[in-house]
Amino acid sequence: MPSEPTSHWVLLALSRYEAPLLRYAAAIVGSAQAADVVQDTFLRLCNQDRAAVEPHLRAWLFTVCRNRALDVRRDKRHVEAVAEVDEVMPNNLPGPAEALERREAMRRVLGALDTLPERQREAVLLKFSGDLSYQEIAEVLGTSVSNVGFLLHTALRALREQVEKKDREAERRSR
Amino acid sequence: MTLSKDDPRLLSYVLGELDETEAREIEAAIDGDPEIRAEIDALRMTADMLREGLAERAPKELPAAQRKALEEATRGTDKPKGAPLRKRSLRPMWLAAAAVALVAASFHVVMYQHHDIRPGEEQVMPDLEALAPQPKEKEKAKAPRKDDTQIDEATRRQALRALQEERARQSKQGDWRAPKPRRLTARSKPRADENPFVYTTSIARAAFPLDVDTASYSLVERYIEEAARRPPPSAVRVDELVNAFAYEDPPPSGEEPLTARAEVDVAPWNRSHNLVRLSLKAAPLDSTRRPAANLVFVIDKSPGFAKDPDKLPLLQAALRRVVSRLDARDRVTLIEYGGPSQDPWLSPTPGDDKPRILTAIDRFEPSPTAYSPNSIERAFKEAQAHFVDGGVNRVFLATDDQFAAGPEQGRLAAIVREKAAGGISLSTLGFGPMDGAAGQTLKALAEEGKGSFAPIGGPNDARKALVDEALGPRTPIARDVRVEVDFSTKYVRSFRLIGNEDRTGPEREFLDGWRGPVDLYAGHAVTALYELEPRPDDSGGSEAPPVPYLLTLRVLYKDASGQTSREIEVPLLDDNAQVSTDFRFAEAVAAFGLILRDSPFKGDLTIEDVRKMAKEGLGADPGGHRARFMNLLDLVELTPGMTPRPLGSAPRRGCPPGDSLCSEL
Repeated sequence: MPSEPTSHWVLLALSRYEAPLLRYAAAIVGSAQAADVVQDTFLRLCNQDRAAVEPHLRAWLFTVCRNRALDVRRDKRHVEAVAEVDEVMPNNLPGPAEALERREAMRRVLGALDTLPERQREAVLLKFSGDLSYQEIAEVLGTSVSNVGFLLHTALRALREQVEKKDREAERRSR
Repeated sequence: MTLSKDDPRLLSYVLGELDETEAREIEAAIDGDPEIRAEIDALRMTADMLREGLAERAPKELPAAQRKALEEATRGTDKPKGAPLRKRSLRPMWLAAAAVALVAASFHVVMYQHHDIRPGEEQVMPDLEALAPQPKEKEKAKAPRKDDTQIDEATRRQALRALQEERARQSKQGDWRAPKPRRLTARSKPRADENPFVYTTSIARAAFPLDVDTASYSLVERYIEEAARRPPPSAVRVDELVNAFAYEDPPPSGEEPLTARAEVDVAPWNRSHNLVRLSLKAAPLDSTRRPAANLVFVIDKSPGFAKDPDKLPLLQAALRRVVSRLDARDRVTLIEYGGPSQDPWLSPTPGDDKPRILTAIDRFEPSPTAYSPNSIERAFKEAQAHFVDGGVNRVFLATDDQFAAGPEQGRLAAIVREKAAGGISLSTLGFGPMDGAAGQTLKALAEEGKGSFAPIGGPNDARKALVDEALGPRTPIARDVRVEVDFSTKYVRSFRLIGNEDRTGPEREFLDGWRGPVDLYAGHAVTALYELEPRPDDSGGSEAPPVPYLLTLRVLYKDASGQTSREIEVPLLDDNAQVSTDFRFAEAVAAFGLILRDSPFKGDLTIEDVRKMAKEGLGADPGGHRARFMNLLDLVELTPGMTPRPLGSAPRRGCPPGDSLCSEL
């Protein structure tokens, strides 16, 4: 059927998934290299058969982006900490006390991300930076939908435990 | 049911992954168990923090250089097998014309071929021609000539229907993608709800936006014509549909740059309400006192542009009209966009050598030669060589939705900016759907070039963009224009601005959002529609009821110099005066929009009613746009989910599962 020209659909995909892919890639390789990974991802998309890719475009993009990001990270031979939080999120911002408290909690949650097992961490990134559905995450990670549910559930519980532990420590120290 | 607070389904619920039954179970558990509720809240908070935290740390978009490289790649590498750089797929309007050309050869043939065309096949044109049975001489005469902008409407309609049926079949297979508009004017998120009625006792003064966008109309057209689908309600903006048409309000008389008009009649969707049409029109350019013009046209020479009846032929028709108004003081140059030749197609020619210019326009044809990017630079060079002091020195770039400047864009923009500072402006004409990246690029270039960007969807646009605007200096004819609508609290109980959902907040907010004054240019026109609820007559009927004084439309502006403030005041009385055809047509378009949006205000209006109104409002229809709207209404009948069933009858068959809108109607 007459379709939009190839360039057009790739550009549409770009406008739609640019930000979530950058978020996702940044969490794996750091924000400096995220742009390269995302650019590569879309360059590959240009060469794909639209009809084959489009029905599961999001899962396709995240799979390719993940593979690219993991390649890059392997080349660098060290794991980039997800939590470059301190540089990016200075905690001395002025603001009401609740906002500060919330930022502090956010820093802790992000910091705790790096303590998660690899699969759990990946599921969390795909869900919360890419906003993928369980089905799509399962496709990217090559697992089942129910396993994705389990991975996320375990991950979030672990994150909260970590945060609470740090809270308690902070409390003890302040006493 | 008892639920553990450690159940993985709680997270699934928070993330919206449960089906309805399961979700209801969890909701019941939340209501019954404070511990579960606390758990859900904690999960929500963690999820939000993760989302927010991850978003904050990452760049929001690709750096400009990488984006450009990508945009270039989408143009260059979409054909992996060493194919030409510019690939074109068959555009629907073109298909319509092909079908018209072959109409006597039976639709089955066309549809068979249509079926055979896969996206990405370069040889579409020759294939189609080769497969088609040789048309007889008589049929050949029927086929649209290349420079004919008017295709026989009945034939066209038939062709469109055949195409639509075919597409409806295909869109059921799910391979049609909804177009996603990128807006040309800055607007916030679309809203599916409608502006409310506002009581005049709380707010009696309102305003409507003067910067109009018309993207929604082409979107609606594409949904219906290309996909035989009902457009989603949030894609339908009634104000944009209404303003997509040219109205024939009388232009301002004498020295006045602006004129305003107000009309009222019974609202067709609610007989106890009134519908008010307010319009503002700027004077067209005065062609008798225009300065000398030095015009360079850069014309897309790709086959996709040249063979589409809605592209090159439209441009040629409009160019011919421009030429008819030129004289010996003017110069015209034509350049092929992307042509390899260093010489222009038509070297600078005085405006009174009409035969030569017209021949060059008529003979303009695509040539399958290599692409070279410096056509625009050459155009500027030609313009510079014949620079007219105090005249209009302008380069026009006429291309379509396939346009992309690629990595050149930055350099190009710099050249354009420099030339604009030197007095040569650049205007861009975008043919075909301009809601994508091409539209944005063309608009950005025109802004750099101090010219205008005109999306061209039909003969009227082409005429407006070229004839009316090309020959004049691009300066506002009225500055700091504001409108105020003062409703009478005595006769009007409440009012509602139709459309403009994203620009008017509920209640008070909407007075301030976009009230900033704007500058208006020659030929600008705005139409706004209000629905009024009249206040019931409480005089007790002792006297003859006075003629209700509904509102005052006030336009405040400064003249072109920006020095003198002026004001236009138009009172509106409900005196049962005959309304114009413009009113009828705008009313029909608005009603159509309300039906598409499934607006709660649409009453029991049907497409048939819309058709009646539109027919009454056809008027002179110089550009044929209104007739096209009538065609669209015809096609609507074929569109699933668009034909309302009589009340109480069985649900429509053929609704796709899960399309609640369809089964509702």
